[in-house]
Amino acid sequence: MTGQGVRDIRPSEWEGDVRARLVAGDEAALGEVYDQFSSFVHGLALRVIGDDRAAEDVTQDVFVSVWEKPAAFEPSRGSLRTWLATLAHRRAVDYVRREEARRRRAQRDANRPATTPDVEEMALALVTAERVRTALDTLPDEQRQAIHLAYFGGKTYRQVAEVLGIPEGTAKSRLRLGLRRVAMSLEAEGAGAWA
Amino acid sequence: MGVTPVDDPRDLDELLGAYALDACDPDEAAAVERYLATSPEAADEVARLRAAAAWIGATEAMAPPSALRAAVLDAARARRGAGASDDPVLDVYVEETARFDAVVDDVPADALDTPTFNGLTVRDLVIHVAAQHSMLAASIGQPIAGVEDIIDTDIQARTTAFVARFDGRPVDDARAVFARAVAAVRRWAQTTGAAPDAPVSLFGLDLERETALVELAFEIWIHADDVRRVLDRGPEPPRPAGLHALADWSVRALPVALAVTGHAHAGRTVRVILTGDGGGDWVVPLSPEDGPVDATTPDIVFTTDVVDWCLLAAERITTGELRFSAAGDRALVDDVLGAVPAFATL
Repeated sequence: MTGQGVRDIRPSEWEGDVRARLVAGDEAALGEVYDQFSSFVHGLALRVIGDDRAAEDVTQDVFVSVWEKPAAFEPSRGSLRTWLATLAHRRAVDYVRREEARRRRAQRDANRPATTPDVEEMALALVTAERVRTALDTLPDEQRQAIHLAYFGGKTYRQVAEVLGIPEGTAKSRLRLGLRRVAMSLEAEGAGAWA
Repeated sequence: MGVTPVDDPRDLDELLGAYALDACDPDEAAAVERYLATSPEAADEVARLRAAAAWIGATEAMAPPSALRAAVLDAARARRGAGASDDPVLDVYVEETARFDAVVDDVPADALDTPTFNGLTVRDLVIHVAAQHSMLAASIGQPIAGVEDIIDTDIQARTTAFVARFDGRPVDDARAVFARAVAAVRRWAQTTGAAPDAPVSLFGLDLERETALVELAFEIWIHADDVRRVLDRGPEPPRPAGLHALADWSVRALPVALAVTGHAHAGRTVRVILTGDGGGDWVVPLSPEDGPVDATTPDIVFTTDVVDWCLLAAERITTGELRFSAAGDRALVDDVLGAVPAFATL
């Protein structure tokens, strides 16, 4: 199996250009990246954290980090979207885990209804988000549940195992197999559209 | 690094999904990252899984309050003002000279006579960098007391004269000359600003401010690594912004380097992709005669790690040792490889 498809080998021209301008300290480039991805970053942070103020802090932190370390984005390793998701998700998860350590977080419904995608998000993202929902819907329940708990619930695989009452090894493989299936079904939909 | 159960590749493969979802404990995440550095297949899988996770995240897109945009841009502007200056070339000169000084502090007295990479002992290497930086100081009208009568511009001859001057004296005397020269260069660089200025003389050449600072920053980083090797330490490249400034200069110097090595190719171009923190992506002509290039159709594409590129430029690794990938005319690739170290001096 190759890494073509979801993994965007060929950076878009815009990504390369915007990266170079960020390295050069061009503020307008930061504005462009913000306009393109702020709904994505903010939505992800909000979904994981569940607190407006903290989600805005994470969003701001992500874009300031993009401004300070643009060279950390390596187009050969994945798309700008994937890089931003990694930055946002790690921060959101760190926040949730810190909060959890401080006080037992108020029980938050793992089945919180999905928020509506922002209409400003690029058309491709909308179409893809639909495909991802479909891909998630076709996952075996136990894999989807594990991914939701880990990715949106900010739980480690050990916590996932505990919540679901399954061995840790089973939690690990459900996460991996489920995520692989999502990747494969997106790749099957056609490479090249995932930049 | 001891082999712990978590370093078993099979266990690590099992962890890749959890890792892509940020669902590992920190020590496990660190073990996965070490593994990814050695296994391209695993790195490829993580890239796919992370992309899939990002798309799962995209199902939740929701616009932040409109006021956040201005807050982000303000915060970014404030950071840039407080942190990195808009003069990365001066920054890297200041940082790398300071790091050289710090590593020499760590050299025990009985190791001062240990030979370094280019054959000079640590002591003579310190004298050599004092010779280099005081040459620029003299060129900008700030000769350093005690060595102002040494006017050689050939760096080998100048180093020899300096070694004779400091013979039998404490190494701190040479370090003091180095420190005063660095301070003079820094003051001059700050007051001239980033704008191109009248050329300065260094190594017998008339150079622009940027080139002079880059040359010296490059050298001092490499020599600091030479000292680290004596101390059994690994290499420590500059921070990404500084590394980028050095790499940027050496890529832009390629057309001239090709001409100097007798392999300029008019009308041809190379795209240079340097990976890693501080890297970048350039398209440059293969001849200094050529004007602006058409960046869309380079004749060759050359990809390597940014640190390795710099080490090649400094002749700390050979073209045979460089790990790179290239597409296009192999003869052109060889000429580019041969030209990269054209400006290495020691």
